[in-house]
Amino acid sequence: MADNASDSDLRGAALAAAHTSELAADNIRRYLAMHSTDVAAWKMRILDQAIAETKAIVDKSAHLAVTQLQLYLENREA
Amino acid sequence: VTVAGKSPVGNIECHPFLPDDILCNARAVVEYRKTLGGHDRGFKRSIVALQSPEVSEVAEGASLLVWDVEGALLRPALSDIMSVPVLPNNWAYRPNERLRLEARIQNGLSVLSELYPGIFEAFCATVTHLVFARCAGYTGGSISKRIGIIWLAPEAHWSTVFVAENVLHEFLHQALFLDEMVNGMFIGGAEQLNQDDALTISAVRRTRRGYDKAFHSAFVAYGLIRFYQRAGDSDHARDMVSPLLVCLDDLVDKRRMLTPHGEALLADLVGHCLRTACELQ
Repeated sequence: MADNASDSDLRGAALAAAHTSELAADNIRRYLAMHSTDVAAWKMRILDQAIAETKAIVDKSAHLAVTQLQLYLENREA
Repeated sequence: VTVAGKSPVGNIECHPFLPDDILCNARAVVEYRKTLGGHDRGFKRSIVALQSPEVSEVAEGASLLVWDVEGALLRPALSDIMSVPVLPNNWAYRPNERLRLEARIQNGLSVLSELYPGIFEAFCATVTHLVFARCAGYTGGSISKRIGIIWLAPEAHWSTVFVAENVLHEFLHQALFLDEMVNGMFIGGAEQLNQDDALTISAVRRTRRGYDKAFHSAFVAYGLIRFYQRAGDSDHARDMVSPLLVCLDDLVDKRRMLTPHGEALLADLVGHCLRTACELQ
């Protein structure tokens, strides 16, 4: 019985692993196809003074953002 | 190089930046490559074969530091990452500049390995090339179609910690690319992600950008906040928190752009950021 259970566990694990690897292969195929043409480049620009000057406005918005984000996590967990 | 006041935790805690996440995703790429035939290869050879087959030199283990893109056939990759058809005239560093910068880069990498040994191990296992080339107004970059290759544009005035920050910054993009490749994050491609109703405030540039760009910015900003906390510069870390929270709020609002995996990552990040914001208050 124990052997049967462990065989079935192993089969389940093997199937799950195969499924995961199929899913990953699908995702990788899709990514390679999409990003060969649909390219996203991240170039890091040297930040300028204009960005620093937005600080006061951003700080104010951040207070509201915290409340919204807490609410989002609570709703997600509920 | 000593870094004062570092905290005891040696990882950037959120997914997909845990070393296990990165290495597991790298293994998935190797497995995928095996299904296409050919012999068993490591991650670096696999990713180069899939995305940058013209690149001649790859070494599993430590990343290659490249100052001469011609020798390693990296000119097309560098043009892609810089998003320019032709490299700028003065891209190459002169020998005396290179000599000074090489030591700075090595010290920066040492700082990174000291602060984040696990992440540094994942970095060495997945970053094929660190390519150095000057480009006015930029510090470096990465591109989704060239995973493994990082471009940096160091300057003489860069401190060792700033080198470490920039290497980490680009590596976090790499970790996100890899996770997107294996697990999928976004619904749709550039067209949808760049539509007006998907534009989201970036945590770094603080302007409205495509959803994927803002998503990356939030994760990178969080990684850099943890980096500066760990390097003992809480003031720098604190300055980055408010823009990150505003960006996250906007990302949550437009979460329809995410796959279930993408949203799980975002929710994980939100939790970490709220805790970090409290720590830094």
